[in-house]
Amino acid sequence: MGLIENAERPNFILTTIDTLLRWGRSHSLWWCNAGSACCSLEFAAMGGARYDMDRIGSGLVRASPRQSDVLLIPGPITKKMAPIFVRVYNQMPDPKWVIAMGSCAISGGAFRESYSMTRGADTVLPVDVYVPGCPVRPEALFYGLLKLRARVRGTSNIGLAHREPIYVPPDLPPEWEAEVREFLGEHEAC
Amino acid sequence: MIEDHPRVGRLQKDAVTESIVLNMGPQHPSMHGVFHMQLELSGETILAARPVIGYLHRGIEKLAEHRTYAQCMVLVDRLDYISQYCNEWAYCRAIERLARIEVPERAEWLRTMYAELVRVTSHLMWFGSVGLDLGGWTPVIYAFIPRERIFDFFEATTGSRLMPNYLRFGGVKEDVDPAEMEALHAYLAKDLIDALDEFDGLVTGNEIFLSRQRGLAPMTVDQAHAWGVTGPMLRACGSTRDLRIDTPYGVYDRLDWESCTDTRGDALARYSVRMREMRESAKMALQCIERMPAGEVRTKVARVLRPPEGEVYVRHESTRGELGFHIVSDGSPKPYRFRVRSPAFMNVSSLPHLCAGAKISEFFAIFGGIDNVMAEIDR
Amino acid sequence: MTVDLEAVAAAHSGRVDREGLDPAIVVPRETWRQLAQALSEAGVWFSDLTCVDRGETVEVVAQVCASASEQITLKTVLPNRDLTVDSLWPVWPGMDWLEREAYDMFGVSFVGHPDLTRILMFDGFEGYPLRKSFLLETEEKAS
Ligand code: SF4
Repeated sequence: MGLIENAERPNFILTTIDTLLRWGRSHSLWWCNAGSACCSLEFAAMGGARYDMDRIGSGLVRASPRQSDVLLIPGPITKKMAPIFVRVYNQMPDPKWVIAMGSCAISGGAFRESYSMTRGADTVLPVDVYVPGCPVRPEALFYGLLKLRARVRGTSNIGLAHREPIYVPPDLPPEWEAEVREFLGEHEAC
Repeated sequence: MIEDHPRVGRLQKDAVTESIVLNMGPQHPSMHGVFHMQLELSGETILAARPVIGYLHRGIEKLAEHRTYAQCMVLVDRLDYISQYCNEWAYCRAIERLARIEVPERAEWLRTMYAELVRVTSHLMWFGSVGLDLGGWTPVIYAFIPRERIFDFFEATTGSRLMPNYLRFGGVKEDVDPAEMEALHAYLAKDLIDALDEFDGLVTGNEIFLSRQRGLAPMTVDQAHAWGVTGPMLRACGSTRDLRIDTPYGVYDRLDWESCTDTRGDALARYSVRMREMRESAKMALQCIERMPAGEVRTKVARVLRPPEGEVYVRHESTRGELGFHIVSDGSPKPYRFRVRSPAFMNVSSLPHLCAGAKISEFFAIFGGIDNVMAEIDR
Repeated sequence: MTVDLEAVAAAHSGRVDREGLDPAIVVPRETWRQLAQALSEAGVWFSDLTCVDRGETVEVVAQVCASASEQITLKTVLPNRDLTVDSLWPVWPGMDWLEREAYDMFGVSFVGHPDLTRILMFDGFEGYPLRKSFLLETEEKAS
């Protein structure tokens, strides 16, 4: 997308293509799961029958970072692992997003004082969505994902501007809670 | 003549390929977490393997020395996050033995029930990932259905799906709502068994699956003892060692169940032991619900516990094998030394022996059979 | 199978400590491997090996099982200035990773171990985290 991203002035053709791209992208956010700790189980539960990420087109966890859009960090980043996360991130094609899942990935969480931990993912990578919880409930991750989707659809790709992170609140706001529930409610049977 | 060709001819005469080193992980889709494997390959055959671990080392043993005994429970939960209740129970048993705390009858039954339920969920998770490792998506999707149902019970009774922090020194946090137990009983008695039958139909009888697992990575009992392998992997080689029988704790000696063993020692045996264990565990949980006596669930214990000076080592049959807690107390409210003997750590250390000589495509089938949890290995 | 602890301990110039919850055999480090060898020949299998930092000394502690339900603790005490002991790897190959971990966390060198490198921390990490002299950052600030 170099042509589009480097275009200086938006014009009619570019913005139309851009809208199309954004629409497509927001419906196919593919994961790169650098699955580390307990939170990755809740991520796995998202792929399972009840939460089923596939319904919003995010069910694919790609084997290679080169094919994915969203880097999920579900757990602590240790000092030994940090360079690898950076490498994985650098291998992902733009545009890319990072979700820090769980208090470990946000700040170090329960292991904050430890000698082997970094104090959160944002000390090594630019984080777009912070989802708190220990462990994160799948609903909260879903909320973060839906927010990110809205962001992807709403942000122009013409010139990748600085992005403000999304903070998922510890208690989901009622209107969003209703929306997430509605999403999940259809499949309550399983 | 082709032999006369300068390069082809030489190749034909001594057709030896140079070995290459392949790095797998630590970011790898089927690595079950951040595990790194260096494989030395000759063609497709694994000559030598060297696991590299520690990518998830959070220093739990050091952190625990800076927390009170009760606060350590949070760390214990996060050791082996697939079998939380087993971890908590093992830790509680260690402290209770050290501080000589009595546990009420009903609490023992509750603990046994939770431990067996979590064994089911843990093996379900393993079942799903075995499918993934061999390239099938279906098992993992299916396995999550019963798992979620049991998690619902955990959430309703302890407040959390994954990290319950439910056991206390001298009992459990609170009693369980009888209505929840009844609903669970109905589920375990019928739907779970149906689901397990379905899994057996899906995978166990599958010819492709069988031919990929049969005879793979065989291990004998002597080898298992020498490598420190425990749990279902050990029982799959014909050993009958099961700490639930050998060093009875909880109410296992009062339940009607049997320890599952197999004599073949290969990957298929490990699979079949775990599949049968799920049924046994469900049976035990059912008996617990039926026969649980009424009564207290918690004895009074000082809020800030100061166990007497001394040390204790407690062995516990976790879902992966022998989980040991070695606690050294100096009489203060914080442990002096907090050591976890992790079953998966020892089981994975046998991996180089198991996969030497195997093909690279078999590697994940072997690795899946070990059922590791990186958080517990790295601590 | 039961092992006569007193006889085994005496044969390796050690003693039996029955004060704790489990019986322990304490031997000088010179006979550490012989003790393990003798026990292993008697059919004992191991379950754990770790260290405890006692300030002036470091205890190497191994947990072994004589039978399914009978558990014995083996101990040897190393002075802080010379943390070396014979490796048990030749006796029980499974000690491989346990000894590497003890080396990584306490700096105890096991003589005869085939590959004594750091296992949990990365190469190049300085210090031995589980020693009492290793302070966490929060402690350093406090002191
Ligand atoms: S936030 Fe909690 S549940 Fe998630 S990885 Fe960290 S310790 Fe585990």
